[in-house]
Amino acid sequence: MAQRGTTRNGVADKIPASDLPQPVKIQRVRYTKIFINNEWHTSVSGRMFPTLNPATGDTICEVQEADKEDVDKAVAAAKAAIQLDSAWRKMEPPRRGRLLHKLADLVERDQKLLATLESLDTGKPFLQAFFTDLEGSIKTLHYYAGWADKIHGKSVPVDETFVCLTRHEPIGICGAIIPWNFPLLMLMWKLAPALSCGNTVVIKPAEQTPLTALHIGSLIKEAGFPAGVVNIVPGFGSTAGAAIASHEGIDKVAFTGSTEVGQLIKEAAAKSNLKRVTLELGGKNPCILAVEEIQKGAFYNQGQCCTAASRVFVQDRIYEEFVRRSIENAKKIVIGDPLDPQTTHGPQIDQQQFEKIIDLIESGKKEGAKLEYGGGAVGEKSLFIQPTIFSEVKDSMRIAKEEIFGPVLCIFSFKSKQEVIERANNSQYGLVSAVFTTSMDRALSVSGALETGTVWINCYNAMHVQTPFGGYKMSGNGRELGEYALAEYSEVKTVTFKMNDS
Amino acid sequence: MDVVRLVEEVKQKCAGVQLQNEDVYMATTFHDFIQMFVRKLRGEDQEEELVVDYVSLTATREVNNMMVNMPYQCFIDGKFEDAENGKSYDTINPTDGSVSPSIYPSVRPSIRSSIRFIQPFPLQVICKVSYASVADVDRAVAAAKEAFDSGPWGRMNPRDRGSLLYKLADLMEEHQEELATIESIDSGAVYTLALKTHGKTIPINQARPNRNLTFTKKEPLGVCAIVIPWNYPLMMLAWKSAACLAAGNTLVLKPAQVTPLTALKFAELSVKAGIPKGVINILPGSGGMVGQRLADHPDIRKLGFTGSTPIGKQIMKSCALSNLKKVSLELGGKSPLIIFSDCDMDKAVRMGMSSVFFNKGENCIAAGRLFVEESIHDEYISRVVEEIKKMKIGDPLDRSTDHGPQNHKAHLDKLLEYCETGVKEGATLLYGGKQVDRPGFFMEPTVFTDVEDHMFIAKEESFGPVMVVSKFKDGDVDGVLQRANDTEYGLASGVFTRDISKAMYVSERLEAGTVFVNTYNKTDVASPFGGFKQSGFGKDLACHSIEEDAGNDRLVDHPEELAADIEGPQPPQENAAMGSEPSPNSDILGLRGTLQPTLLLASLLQDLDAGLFVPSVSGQLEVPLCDLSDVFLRLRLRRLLLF
Repeated sequence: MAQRGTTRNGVADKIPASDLPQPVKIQRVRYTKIFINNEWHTSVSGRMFPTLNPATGDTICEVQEADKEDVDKAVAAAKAAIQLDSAWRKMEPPRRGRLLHKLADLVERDQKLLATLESLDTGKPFLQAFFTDLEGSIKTLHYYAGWADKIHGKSVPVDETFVCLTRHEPIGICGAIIPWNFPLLMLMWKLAPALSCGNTVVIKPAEQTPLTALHIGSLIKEAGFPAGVVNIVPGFGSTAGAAIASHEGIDKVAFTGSTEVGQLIKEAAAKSNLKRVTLELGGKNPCILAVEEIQKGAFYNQGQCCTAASRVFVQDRIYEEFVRRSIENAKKIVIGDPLDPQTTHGPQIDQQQFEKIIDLIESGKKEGAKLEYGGGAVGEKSLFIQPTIFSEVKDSMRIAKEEIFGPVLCIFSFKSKQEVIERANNSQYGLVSAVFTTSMDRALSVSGALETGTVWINCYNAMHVQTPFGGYKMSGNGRELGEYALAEYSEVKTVTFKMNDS
Repeated sequence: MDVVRLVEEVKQKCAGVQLQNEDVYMATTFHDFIQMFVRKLRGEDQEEELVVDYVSLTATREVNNMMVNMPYQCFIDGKFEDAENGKSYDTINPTDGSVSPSIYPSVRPSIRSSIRFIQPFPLQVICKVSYASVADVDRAVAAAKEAFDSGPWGRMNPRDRGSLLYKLADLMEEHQEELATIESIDSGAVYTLALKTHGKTIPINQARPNRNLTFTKKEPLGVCAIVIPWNYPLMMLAWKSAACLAAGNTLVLKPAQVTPLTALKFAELSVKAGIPKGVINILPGSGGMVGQRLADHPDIRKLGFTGSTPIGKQIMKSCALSNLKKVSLELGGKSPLIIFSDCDMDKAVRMGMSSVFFNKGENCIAAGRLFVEESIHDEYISRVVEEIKKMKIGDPLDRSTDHGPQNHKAHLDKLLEYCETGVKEGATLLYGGKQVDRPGFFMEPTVFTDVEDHMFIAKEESFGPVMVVSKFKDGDVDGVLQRANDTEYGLASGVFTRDISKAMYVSERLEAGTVFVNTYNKTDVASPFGGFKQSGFGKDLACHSIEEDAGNDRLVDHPEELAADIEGPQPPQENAAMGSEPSPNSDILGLRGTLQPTLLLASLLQDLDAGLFVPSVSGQLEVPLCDLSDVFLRLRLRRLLLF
């Protein structure tokens, strides 16, 4: 049995069809307002924005649009909730853990509903939302629930007349800016460790995908978190997002998204109050050798993964066979309604992304890469893009350098190990990489040489909540998940006692 | 093709049935397949449901009329069974002997459980419990080994293991009334520990760097033996077994002979939670037989023990001779408590009293000696005596009671002898020292002053409500430290002072596993616990009290047996206690609220109901990470050479 919920697709087909979860019929989306202090608010400006179903282009509902003033309100609530005498601050750590466990149980209770909302809002196939996004979210919550009372400081031996202790304390108010590709999961990656460490949070979901985050607001309240501990402000990056990044009252900001915006956030953080920053940004992830797994790597979630295997280096002697079999596999991909369990490939998130991907595909054609499969939109007036395969891609081409964030597989060939390591590392990014080989020596030497935060050996997208995740170089700053993430959500305080000479 | 068609047809006609690959492959003929299939349709594929033979009791007396169903047999390989030789023994409620029994049999028809009527036992007898034999130990170990080597437990990933424990914790919470436990809540914390046993990767220095890879992986030990003490049985049980299981071990657990019932109830819940058979095995019985066999058994890889130092030595010897099994010991103590003149007097009086009298002194971390600075000595003593006079001695089930009976008669007798020795050697008996004039095993709270370092009562643990006070000269910090450290024990210690500098200085120099500063008995946090010197080794979890070996029988109210057992070189201290983390305080709370109805625990723990001395309570306990790594996991080094 494969591990359920790791980010691998194809898990669903191992479960008998009669057992597959079914999407829920949603008449009306219940939570569309701003969530502050465990209450629902309309926006100060009175503005709302529509959130669309990318599969149809229809408006799902209108959501209250948070701007700077709303962020101010949320920060005030979060600040009140973390005062020294607040219920949250005084809460014993195991109790914090219990609340997170409770939240996990509530997410599990609403798993189908949340997966349906996620599928509607992002266009990702329902089953992938159910098994990857939701299961992953639940596991993340349980995992960090367990940490709540195990965050130990140290006692440090120093000079004789001193006693020195370290305490790991919450940072304070943590801002979180969430992307649209895995809206709920990315939210949990930030929310769970932040709460486990005792922080309060202000979360801005992506404007394309605010619905699951808002539903979580209702569960936060139901689980019994004190008011103000979690605040959710749906809105746009340039307004609400910018307000969080530059807010004087926010002590830390965590962002997942593009490298371009990551730079803006770090700049704003530096200019405002030097708030701590964790960034999980883009990638142009090299994947060396191999066959079938790659496809899952490149096309999973319509290619909208920061971990997408966008550069596949294949050794020359298996190159032709690899290209041929990749095409065969691409043909098996089922494009369709994301809510249909048969579907494995949905629409891109929005028009802007769609155009960017089409533009890059065109550039590939122009610059001389060989289009082996796909290469265009599916039908007219839709956001679906065919799974696309280019071979004979050269390192200088745009599709070899820029993050496409779409279902485009670029296949390169290489001769020697030395050569492929240099080319793989020749990128401003350093998020993930993968090696497929049966040689232990090669696996270990290449994994040592690749400049990325994660190296997968004979697997891809093998994410686990226990292992840290983050990027080298311009792919990010800091680590999420695992024990390492706790460091991103706590301050270390050194307490030094001086003893009198007695 | 026929098979495929068959399968398709089955799917079509009987949509609700789930078949696994192996169901089909293992049924190699059509006949087998149909049989298997029909059984599935009837829902008979589940493992045999657990049949429990219960003893049912109703508790009365100020407690809601609550029905308690208690298994009373050995729990081996997922089944409740009589001991192989069919023997059993009485488990007894040691409350005050003259009060009419608070327990009577009753019937509650319940599905799948046959009810045993309890015949009018002599007073105080709760019920008969199976008396495990050596053969039962061997069967239990074999079951645990099988479960570890080839059962689903060994193959299960840590997350699923964690989920089962989490479920078990929930079940314990559900049965809280019956189990009378707060540990159940806390063992929930273990849930994710299963995922947090990190190994390390280690860069090693070779002539050619980066050409070697070393990493460590933490792996379970195998079959572990856990033996639970009588003074905090359920807390120890939940705590130790949870950590042991989280690490992936299987276990054979021997509850103290006098307190087997909650452990057996726990076994029942573990089955409901879905923990595979053989993973948990529970053997009520004597230390001399069951405990000794566990220490000797060649297939057990680790044994944890809480008890007296001499018996700890014997256990360690047995462990060494048999198969060098790992052993962790939490043994006796004679913990010093230093009270400086700059202390908060109110607090020092309150805490100083609880450090000695808490749980009638039957507490392994009890302050065995108090050192009081000369200038406040007299005031301190007079305030303590004043407070003692206010203590209400009486029925432990009464919530206003501060001081209950000692655990059993032989222990009381030994305490009285202990006091006589003190008087003989010239210490001043300022208060108490006698049995209380009422039925039952009540001992007066006792205070000795002018105790000199050479005296018996200055050196030996009483394990009873005896405060042993010595003076020290004003300002002589180093002198008092030297006296405090002049002991073979090193379990706990305490210091009362308002001067943080002095507190730090003293806490660095006290040779003990725990130093309490301006508090006492506060062991509830996730902090490790264990002894220096002859108080044991292996932090935490270590503790299992086998009063084993010679010991256990004498804990029971069988004066005849006792006499026989006490001949050996028994230290005055009985069973050590209070394993570790779990706080006596949380214990009190939990027990007060929920224990009484069950009575089974009450038999031992009722007297904990001494709320007066309870310092602030957080009521949470938790298994520190380090326990797992240190105690129930071994590090396996793996080196991979490249090129």
